[in-house]
Amino acid sequence: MSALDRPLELGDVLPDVPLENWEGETARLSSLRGRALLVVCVRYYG
Amino acid sequence: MRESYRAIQMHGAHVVAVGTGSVAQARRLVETGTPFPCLVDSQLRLYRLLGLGRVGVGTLLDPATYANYWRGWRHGARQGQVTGDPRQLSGVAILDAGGRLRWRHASRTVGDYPALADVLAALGGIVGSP
Repeated sequence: MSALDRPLELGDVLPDVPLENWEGETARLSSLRGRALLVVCVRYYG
Repeated sequence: MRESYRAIQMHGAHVVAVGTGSVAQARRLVETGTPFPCLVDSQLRLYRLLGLGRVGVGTLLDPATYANYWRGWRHGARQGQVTGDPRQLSGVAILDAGGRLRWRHASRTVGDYPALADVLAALGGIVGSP
């Protein structure tokens, strides 16, 4: 586990993790800053 | 989750879902009316950063696992094709406008999601009441 993958503490800024959107393009949660963000991590889409 | 979206929006917050599986499944959810972005974290980096757990022996021995399955079944949930990492547990997090982690629920077992009232209370404490 790299330092970048160490679990965050409350108050830490989330690093800019690259995700994929539904079209397979890179999506970054940092692009949504400016408003609060609710992130729901599911086990899997099925 | 879809039903809760309006209440969350009233707090002025963005919502995203993140899964470990395939882009095709995320696309299907968006195309069938999920009103918020469905993203994929195939490397599980976000899950690790949020400190979300893994399915283990303890999960299989936990009665809550089966109670959650049964509750989901009664509400019409049916398991589809499993893609991604089925050993990854779920969780919910709230980031503030600056991207700081302000609240987190790491699922103890399968199907362990926080109550909407708890999420809205946490959100209200971060952004204020709608």
